[in-house]
Amino acid sequence: MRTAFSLILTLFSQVVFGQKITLLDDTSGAPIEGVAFMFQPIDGGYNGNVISDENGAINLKAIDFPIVIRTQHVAYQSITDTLGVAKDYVIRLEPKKVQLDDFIVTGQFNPQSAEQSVFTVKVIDQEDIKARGAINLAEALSNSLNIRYSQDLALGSTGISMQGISGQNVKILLDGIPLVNRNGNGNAADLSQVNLNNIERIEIVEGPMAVNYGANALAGVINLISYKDAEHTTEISVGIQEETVGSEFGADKGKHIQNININQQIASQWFAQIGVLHSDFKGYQGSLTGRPKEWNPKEQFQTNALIKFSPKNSSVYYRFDYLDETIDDLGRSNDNYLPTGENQPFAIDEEYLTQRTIHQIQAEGKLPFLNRYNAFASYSDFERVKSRFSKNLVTGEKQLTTASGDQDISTYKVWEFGGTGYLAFSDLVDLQTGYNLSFEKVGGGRIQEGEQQINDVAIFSSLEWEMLNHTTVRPGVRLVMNSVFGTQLIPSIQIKKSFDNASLRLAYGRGYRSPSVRELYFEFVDSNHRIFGNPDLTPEFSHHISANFSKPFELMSAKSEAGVNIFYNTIEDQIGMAQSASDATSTTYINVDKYKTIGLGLNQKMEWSRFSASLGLSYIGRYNRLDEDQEEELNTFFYTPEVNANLQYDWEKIDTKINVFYKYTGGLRNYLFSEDSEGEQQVTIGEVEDYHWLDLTLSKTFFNHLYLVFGAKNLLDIQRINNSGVSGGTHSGGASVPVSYGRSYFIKLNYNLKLK
Amino acid sequence: MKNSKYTLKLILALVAVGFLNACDSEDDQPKVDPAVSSAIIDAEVGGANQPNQVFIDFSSKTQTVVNRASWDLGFYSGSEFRVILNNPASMLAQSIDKNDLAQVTAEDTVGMGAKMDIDAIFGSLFGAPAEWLPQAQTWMDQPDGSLEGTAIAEVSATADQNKVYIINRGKNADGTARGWMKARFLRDGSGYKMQYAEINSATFSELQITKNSDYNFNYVNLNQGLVNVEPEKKKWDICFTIFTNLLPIDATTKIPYAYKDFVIQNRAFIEVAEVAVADFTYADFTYANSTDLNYSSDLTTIGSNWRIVAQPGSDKETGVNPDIFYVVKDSDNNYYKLKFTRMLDPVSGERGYPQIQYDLLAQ
Repeated sequence: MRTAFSLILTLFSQVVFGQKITLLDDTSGAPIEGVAFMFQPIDGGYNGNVISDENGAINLKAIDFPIVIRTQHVAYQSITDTLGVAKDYVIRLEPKKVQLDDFIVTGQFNPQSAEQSVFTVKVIDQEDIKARGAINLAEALSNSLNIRYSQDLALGSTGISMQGISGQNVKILLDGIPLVNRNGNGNAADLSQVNLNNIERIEIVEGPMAVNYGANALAGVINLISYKDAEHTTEISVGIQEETVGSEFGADKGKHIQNININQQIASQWFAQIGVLHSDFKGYQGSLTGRPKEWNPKEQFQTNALIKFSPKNSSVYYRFDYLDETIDDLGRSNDNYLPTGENQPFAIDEEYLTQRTIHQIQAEGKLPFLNRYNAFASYSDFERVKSRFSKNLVTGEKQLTTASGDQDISTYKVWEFGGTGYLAFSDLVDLQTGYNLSFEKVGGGRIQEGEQQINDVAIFSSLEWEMLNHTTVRPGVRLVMNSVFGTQLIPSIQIKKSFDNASLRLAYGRGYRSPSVRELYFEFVDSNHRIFGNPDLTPEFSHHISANFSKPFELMSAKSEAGVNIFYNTIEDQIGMAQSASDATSTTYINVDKYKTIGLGLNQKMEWSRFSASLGLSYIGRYNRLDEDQEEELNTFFYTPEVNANLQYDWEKIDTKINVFYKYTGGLRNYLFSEDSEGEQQVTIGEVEDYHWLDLTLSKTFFNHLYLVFGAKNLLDIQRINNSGVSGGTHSGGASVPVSYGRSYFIKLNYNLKLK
Repeated sequence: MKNSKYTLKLILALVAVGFLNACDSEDDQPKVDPAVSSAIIDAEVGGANQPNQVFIDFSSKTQTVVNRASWDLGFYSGSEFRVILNNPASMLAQSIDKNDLAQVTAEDTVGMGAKMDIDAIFGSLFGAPAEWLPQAQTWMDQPDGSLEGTAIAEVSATADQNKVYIINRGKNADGTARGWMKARFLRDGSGYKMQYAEINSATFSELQITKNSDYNFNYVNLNQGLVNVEPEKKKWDICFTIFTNLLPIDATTKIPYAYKDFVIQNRAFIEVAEVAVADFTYADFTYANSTDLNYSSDLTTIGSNWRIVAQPGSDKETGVNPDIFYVVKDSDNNYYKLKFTRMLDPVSGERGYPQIQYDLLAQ
């Protein structure tokens, strides 16, 4: 009777109410909201896609059982199962071993967890940025694996290489749009000019992202994702950070930072945000005496504003960014005897004034014929004015100097337009198709005719196909039409296969680097040099292959995840300098060199209740063919090891976190032009010394509003490292490579006001 | 430059030297020109393009200014028969297997334009290694000034052995080319005879050069004939000039490369030693300190060491090298300490406006 009743009820519910599927956390038993639940009757015909409600419930109506189902949620393991009969089910989902970060967007069809991405995406999130006391991108990446730094003391700039490939091939994006700088549209950036005020997280993809992001993403992309939402009606954040520079600190020394951010919900569909940052680095005198400083003072003002309108199923925002940077390079005092015999010393000072303005409009949403689209338009205007002065140190008189190249204005203006549409043919096949228009106008003193323009039009398409055997395949292609180097076709394919918990990712991609404006249109003539750009250059092309395997597991009650990563990059037609074929007395750029990098990486994360740790190892080889018949001993890969480790102890009781950031950067072999005992030069192998980097921070939250970080950067006090054998000659640099100004301490105070 | 303060110094110097001479009873040779004891000189190098060679005589506090493109060849006045090229103009020369100037045509110079040229040599570094590059250093005079190392072989007493030279006259101060000539050098009694013409010319001119031993070299301009360049050999100590030096590029190859702001010293009598400021400051340095130094008669002892030129990416600043100064011993056995006070113009910041300070070391 009872069975009959329940059968009737079941039949009844099948007809009227359908079936209820409840999704619960396997550990806590709590309902899980927001699980993507995909189903398809085993007989085929149609399929569906539902999201669980706050009770973890999904109601299925008029479905022909049995059905194949699949769940997806950021924090839980996916399951695939077949439900045989039409009844209510309770499905328990196992939480993921290591709680991964929020959604990522770089190169994704839809925002999703990094875990689900077809290719590997590393994330540095807000908490990480704060814990490091990082103000700019250089500081945030300071202990990242596969990234090496180079510091230019004169210009105060920080460049990087990724996977052993120069920063000209690393593209830095702000919400997916290239962040323009003096040397390129996104690439070859000065990381110290990329401030993280209002940046929510940093997404890093290693390996070419040429299909989505075009040129110069050969080594990878670094995408800065800004805040575009707030949880409360009004959010005000005011921060100050005081930092020693080495052991120097005071009103005219050290580093002083202030910032303020305001987020405001204006009406239900409107959101506005405004932020200001002032960073005042007073320079580092170091061992120098008098006026000059080892590290030049640098002052930055940054302003950003955003206004966003989000009607149903779509959003559009306008974002404004402005950076103003002043670098003062004070020269040393030179004697100058006047005819009267009086000594009136003078100095030659330089000033670099940089201004960057960015306007961005981005829209996204649904259209009747598209599951999702996004579109953007942006205009970036970069200008750096270099001024050189002579200053009479007795009278104080200041005057612009007149030597060639002393005064210079470099400009970089870029208009970018793009759009991408996403179409789901079925649950298993998604298509992304987009276009990108880019117009670059570059000017400067050493550019032919003072200004040059490059136009680039591209269309791209990729397909994400989820096969039923837990394999996702994503082929893609980009067609580029460039005003300088013509039409190119760039393919890529990425594969992800999941086994139980583990996942394997394979990628092949073609990347390319456009010749820079300098390489195309440079013009420099002096008594010894006649260097001209070559407008006939073709891009440098690369092949990239990588494989990545990661698996979460439990080890002594610790949630763990281990990964192995290998990659291989080969760059053909790398641009190098050569004697001009048409004029023996001048030098130009040609596509000649060959460069390869190969790498192996291991990483391991572990999480005990309050303690979490991650450890990474990488071993990267670089091969550089200088010329076709180079000697055999030079014809080899130079390998460098790197190790990084992050430790965190979360002392919940007193709202305190202790962080340790460590990196070992191995010695880097390179070609040296050194002198032998007879004073003759020879190409030998030299090495930039290895070094250890260690940061320690302690952060504490008071009364929910006040956030305090105390930290020590570069605890091991690394300043310069040796580059063995760098020798004299007319173009001698120093025998050492600057890394930092040494151990410094900072304190950061943040007040967050949240009004509902 | 005459002014009261300098005059005062000069008088003091005269008094001092007179006093010294009076005390020095063994030295009965009267000094014609008492040495200047202390001076500041603004060398008139001529600014950014550095068009001038500036010969400086410490003891008389004089400078002789000569346009560096105003001459082509120097004929040695000593016992050997040697001819030097104008190094500051980056002149290069090589012999061809002919000894009749009239027989030489443009055909004999085929390919030379892309090699025997200071800019072409530099340009060839950026590409497949040029087979001819190791020869490039033989087309210039060895920068140490040794007479055995001149590009033009010793002028033989046997006229037939003196071959024709193809000469690239290098560059003018403004960077323009000075053109090409052919020339042949012969002995003419105790002097020289030069035959010379444009490359394609079927005829040639002749010029006789007698050796005047008051000078290190007797100079010739291929357009104007005999010209005055260097002061008498006892009347200068150091010279500011652009200098074509040898730049080592690999284990065996050096190439001609022009240095700006270069200082050479007189090959006759002058010896120079470098002093590290870490050992002595300029102010504290006395004659007593001058005896232990390593003196050198290499033309390029000072060379480019006195200054620093900033390179992209380096944290060095263009200007005088503050870590060193020099001691110069002149033809009259005077010892001077020499300091370069500035390299750039104090207002325009241009190169080519050096200033020196020197002080006689009281013996």
